[in-house]
Amino acid sequence: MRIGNAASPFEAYEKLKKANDKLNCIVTAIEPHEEGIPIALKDNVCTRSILTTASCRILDNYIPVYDATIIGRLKAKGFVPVAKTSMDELAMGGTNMTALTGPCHNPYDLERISGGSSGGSAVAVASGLVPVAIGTDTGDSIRKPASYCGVVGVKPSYGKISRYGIIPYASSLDHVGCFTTNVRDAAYMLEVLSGRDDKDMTSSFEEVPSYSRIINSDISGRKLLIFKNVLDEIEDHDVLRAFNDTVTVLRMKGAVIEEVSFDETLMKAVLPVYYLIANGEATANHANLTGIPFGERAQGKDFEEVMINSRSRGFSSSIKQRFVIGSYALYKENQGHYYRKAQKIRRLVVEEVMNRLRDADALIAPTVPGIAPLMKESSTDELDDNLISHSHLIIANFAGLPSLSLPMGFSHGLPLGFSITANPFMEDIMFDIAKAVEEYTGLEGQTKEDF
Amino acid sequence: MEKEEIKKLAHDILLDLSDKEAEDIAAEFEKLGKMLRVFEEIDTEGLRALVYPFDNETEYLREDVPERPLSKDEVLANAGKITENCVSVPRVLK
Repeated sequence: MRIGNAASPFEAYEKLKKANDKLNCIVTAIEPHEEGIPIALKDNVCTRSILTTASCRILDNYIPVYDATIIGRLKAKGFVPVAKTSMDELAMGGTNMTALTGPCHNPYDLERISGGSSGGSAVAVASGLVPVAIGTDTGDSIRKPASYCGVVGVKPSYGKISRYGIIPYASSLDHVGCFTTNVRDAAYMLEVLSGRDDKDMTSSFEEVPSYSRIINSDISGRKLLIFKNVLDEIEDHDVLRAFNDTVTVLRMKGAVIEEVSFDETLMKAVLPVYYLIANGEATANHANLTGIPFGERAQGKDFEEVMINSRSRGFSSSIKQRFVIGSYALYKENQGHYYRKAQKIRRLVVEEVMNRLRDADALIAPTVPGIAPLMKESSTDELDDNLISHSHLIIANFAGLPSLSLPMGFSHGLPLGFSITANPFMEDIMFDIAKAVEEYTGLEGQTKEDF
Repeated sequence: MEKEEIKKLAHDILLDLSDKEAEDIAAEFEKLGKMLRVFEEIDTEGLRALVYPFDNETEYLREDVPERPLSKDEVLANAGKITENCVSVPRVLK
């Protein structure tokens, strides 16, 4: 399904409700009242008068009294929200297994994960229910589910899309982005969503080009860097074959391609750096979830006990774990060893990559090292996956780089993703390269519509 | 790290933990501790922390023009308990 030939919001709404029995990809279906282009929104996007839970029990009754900035932008271009989608609790996860409404299913194999944390949005697009859905990405939360579900998932440069009205995870890493079935639609969505917003203090003043008009698959002379540390780790032959075949075609189209290996020690530090920064920021951001001004309130004999009981009941054990560790890293006596140290290593990682990327057009790699894992074999503990073939995606969040995943083929009938990361605010070049890949794969517009 | 120490850490951010939760966090600290050994191999002496991705200025002073804030009803709409125009909580002074 494409934006240009999408079903009506009324039809999409009915189909979503029906498909949800099998996919469990939505939290709330929104009955449309007008014609337009149906769109699904991750459930951390505040929607006036519509339940917004961020998949967290403490927000299970939260009905925002205002819209996120992106809602106004979407409505101005004729988009009609038809669903709030499933996500990992407070966007803190990579499997979508920690959703308050239960795991979301991969449309290519219901026994497998969708990936997360924007899993519901990825699934809604992958199964042809909507042509576009909004996600957020703090470490890989758009690109990983995009790869597992066989759709295009884009995280633009930091500050490009306003985060006003988005329930946060980690403010120095959070990005808003989207899922589509093809590259041109993704380029168009970036035009719709991007632009300065005074209500978001990190919003960029950079001009927003007409990406969908200037998109061009001519990549002759473009310099692409293969992320060798990622490739070195991958054992899956189907992934390697699909990636290498795509690279061969890009080379035939005139791209200049070379391999680059980054410092292994710094690459090994990416995940723990992310873990400390993201959880530290998250615990501070969510100090306002007390159950008092909003959210589910528990009983207590005094003010403090109300907050303790509300928070202890309102967060899952794994979120409490993240908050406790994040808070530990922020303690004055620990900051130097943990939080500040992590921020300094973040600088070294960014410099290591930018020293090479600055003189090139993009960094490319398989998005993830394989197909979507089976639910029963998936761990929800991020520290269990300390492989650069997973954590390389985080570097784009550290550095604020535009990054996307698009389908590059299949293994055992399940989708594989190709990752492209460009220089800051060079989304146009990222889309050109993606378009060239898409022309080769022929997977433009692909969906899995059995629901 | 001891269970009681973890429970105290949690209490500082207004969370009560069960014994099982505290044990799981202790195990996670251990796992993280092993992973953090890599930090010792990286010299960060004299480096500035990278807090946000870009150094460019995005903050500004807005013009002093009135804007419509949320109404009182809207602000209170999500509070569990309201008395007149205030969010109410259990009595502090008995």
